[in-house]
Amino acid sequence: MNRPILSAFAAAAFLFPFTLSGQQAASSPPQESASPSSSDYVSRAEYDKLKSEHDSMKQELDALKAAVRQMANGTVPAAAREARPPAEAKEVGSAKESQTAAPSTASATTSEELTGPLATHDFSIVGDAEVQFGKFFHQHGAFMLADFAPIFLFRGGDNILFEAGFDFILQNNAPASDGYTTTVNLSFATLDYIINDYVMFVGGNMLLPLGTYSERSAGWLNKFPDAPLPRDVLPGNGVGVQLRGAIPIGNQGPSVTYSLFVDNGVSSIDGTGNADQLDLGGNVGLTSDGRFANLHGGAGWGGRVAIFWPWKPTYDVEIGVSGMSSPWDNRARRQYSAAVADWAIHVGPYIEVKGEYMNTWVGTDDHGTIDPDGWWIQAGYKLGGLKLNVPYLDKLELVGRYDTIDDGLGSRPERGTFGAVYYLTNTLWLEGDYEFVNNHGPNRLPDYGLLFQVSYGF
Amino acid sequence: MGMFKRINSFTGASVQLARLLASVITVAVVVTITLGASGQTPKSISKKTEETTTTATVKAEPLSGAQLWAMNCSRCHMARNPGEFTAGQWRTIFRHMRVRANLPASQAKEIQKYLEAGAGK
Repeated sequence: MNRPILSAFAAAAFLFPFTLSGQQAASSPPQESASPSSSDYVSRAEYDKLKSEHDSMKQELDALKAAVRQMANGTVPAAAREARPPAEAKEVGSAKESQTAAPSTASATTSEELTGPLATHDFSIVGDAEVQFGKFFHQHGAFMLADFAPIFLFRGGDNILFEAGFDFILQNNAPASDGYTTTVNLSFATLDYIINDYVMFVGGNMLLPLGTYSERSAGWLNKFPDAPLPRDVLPGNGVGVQLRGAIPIGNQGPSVTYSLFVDNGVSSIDGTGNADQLDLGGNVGLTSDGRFANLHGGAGWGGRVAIFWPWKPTYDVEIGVSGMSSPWDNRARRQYSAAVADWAIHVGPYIEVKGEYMNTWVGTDDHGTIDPDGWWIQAGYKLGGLKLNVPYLDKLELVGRYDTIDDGLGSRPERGTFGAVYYLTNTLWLEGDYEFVNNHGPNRLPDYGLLFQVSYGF
Repeated sequence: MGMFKRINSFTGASVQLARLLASVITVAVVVTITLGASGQTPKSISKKTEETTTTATVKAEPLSGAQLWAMNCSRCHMARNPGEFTAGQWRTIFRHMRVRANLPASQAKEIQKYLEAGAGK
């Protein structure tokens, strides 16, 4: 009975020295004079060297952090302080790449990255450019438009901003005259002041918040080369002041937005209140010949309230109502009023549908009160949503639009547009559309047309 | 003349088709909005369910800058990637965008942090 136990003790006594030496090998640091078979291990000298480098890098990083903090408390602008964490992260990366770099050199690099030349940080140029080709019913096909529309942005501080948008447009001269003309228009120029989290002041030549189109109509925002017809019954700009802001609803993205404005209002071309003399271009002050003719003393006022309700990224609904009122003839006896409903919906990154309905009431000398109105709706579907993984198709978006306008004087064209947008990049597009018009009334639009446009946003 | 008559009849039919499509799209949008809204605020069958829903809403984590960027920027245009501008340029451009797009301050701050963190050089 005891024989197996004795055998086990004998085996244990035989194996003990080997077991002990194995434990020692596993627990003790590697020996400098390691045999060739243990060359996979780190030697004591290598271990010490790595530890020393690690300590050195740690000290260097602490010095960098201290330098950044010092600069942030001193000369670095507030906005740059906000960007400190990523800048520190970049510095850590560069420190790893060049372990021997002196701390002073690294600090100088950090300073340059964080602050940079103020002029280039505070002043930016963005904008868009378009080239358009068109072929309309009973007309020759031609390159119709070359438009360069830079927007100059300046940030005077954290709360003071200035922006001015221009349009440099190339136009063929009128029949019976030669050459071409380059026109320069000031699309908008506003001084913005962020008063607090809920109120922002905007003053100057403003894009009016009547619907959403005028604020979102740049060539690389609009998926069609031309504007919806009924936008002709609304002014796009106004010179005046505006208060606007947004109030978040919860912390999941929804918000209510508002805009309230007072401006010079709309005016009359010849000063009378005749229906065909309404000038939505504005009642801006002095006329170009230096006189005060063609002006009224009244003011226009209006605003927009909207709700934006996303339920997850790229899935959202926006619904808004807006309106304005202004006298328009020189004697300020005739009133122009407008009401607009707008909405937009995104169903994932591939589907967008949006539209506007607008109605206006215009008091006139010769036709009583007329009510020009109209509406438009457009939809787009990016073929990438089909997950076909076909390189060219994935970058294509099919678009369609229906728009109609009633000018209140008997003309009511309806237009359908079908086309496609090809995204070369996220800001460089090729657009192609076929438009067809069903005319009613005396003022006729071309029955059909083909439009192609290259749009670039920068 | 015959050709123009054909074009006119084709144009008339096409406009009718566009009008029909517009109506269909409008109906589809109304349905989608309704479904989206109902998905956002589930019906409260009982008081207990309502309390559970309320608690879940209160505990929802605030959205990140990246999520808010995806939500807001693509509403009007193809979203610009953070790396397309430097941090300094974003500071100027995005403050203007806050005014133009009427963004809530809290959301704008998160988006700006996200853009500047991933800004190009």
